[in-house]
Amino acid sequence: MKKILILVVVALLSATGYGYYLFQKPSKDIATTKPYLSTIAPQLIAKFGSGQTSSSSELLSKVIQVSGKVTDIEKGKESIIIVLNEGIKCEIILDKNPPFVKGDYLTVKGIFSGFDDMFNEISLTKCYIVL
Amino acid sequence: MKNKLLIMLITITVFGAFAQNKKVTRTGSVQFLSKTPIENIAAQNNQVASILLVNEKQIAFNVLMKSFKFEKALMEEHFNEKYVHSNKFPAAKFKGSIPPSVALDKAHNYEGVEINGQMLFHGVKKPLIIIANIEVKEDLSISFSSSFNLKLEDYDIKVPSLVKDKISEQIKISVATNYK
Repeated sequence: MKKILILVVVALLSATGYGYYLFQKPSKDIATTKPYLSTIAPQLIAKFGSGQTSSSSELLSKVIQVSGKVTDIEKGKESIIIVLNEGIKCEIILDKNPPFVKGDYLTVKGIFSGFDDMFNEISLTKCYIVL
Repeated sequence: MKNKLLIMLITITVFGAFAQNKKVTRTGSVQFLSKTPIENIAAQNNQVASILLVNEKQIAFNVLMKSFKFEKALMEEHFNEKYVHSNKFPAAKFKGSIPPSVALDKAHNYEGVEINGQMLFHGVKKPLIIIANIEVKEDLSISFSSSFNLKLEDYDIKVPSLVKDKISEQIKISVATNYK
């Protein structure tokens, strides 16, 4: 009887512990996450750059790695957005000036957050520069 | 030769005028805050796309739901999957008119500007008036900021009774953009 009680208490404690761990888990760390898809900018644009397709929901929230040419850089208050191949915008969190210029080739890793139909661009969030 | 020069000059002027009329940004920010005595839930999106038409005095925002960042992974997951259903409704959009009295082509600071528009959120489209500050700077860049409340019920977002006292019925939204 005592054994069962101990077992129940241990089970309850570990369940609570796991729940607490899940609750406190910080957001995904992109730098250490293995990308779901590695590709080049023209390919990603050809596949997902035409708006809300059924295949684009497959990538939503997934970590994507993409290489391309920087065609635009926009500095905001909290972040910098770089545009790759005029069709993919990546939000990069940097506290200083970006170590790249228009025309550079970059590889970034970030979370696919959908298609912006105002600028007709694929959007990547929390990007991290790989190369 | 003179003709060519003239054509070039005209082209540059025309394009220049276009560029000035349509001001855009990709780095706008939107914050939201749900404040209750038990818990505050906040998230930030620094990737807001916006277009400001200087002559037409129109302003538009496009906010991707998946670009909101939370402190905790579980909050982000619940937000996307249980509340705003971002797979089905990927973006919130606002389009509004700036009153004629606001001259967007002269340096001036306007406070408490009433912007009359339409909000599309969670698949529900509703008229919405927001109050904004608009500052036209010397170099004619424009900064825009506004805070307003959205009622979750208005946009068909249901909060389970179990968590009712953790999620506010009114969500405070703050928007800030800079146009060059």
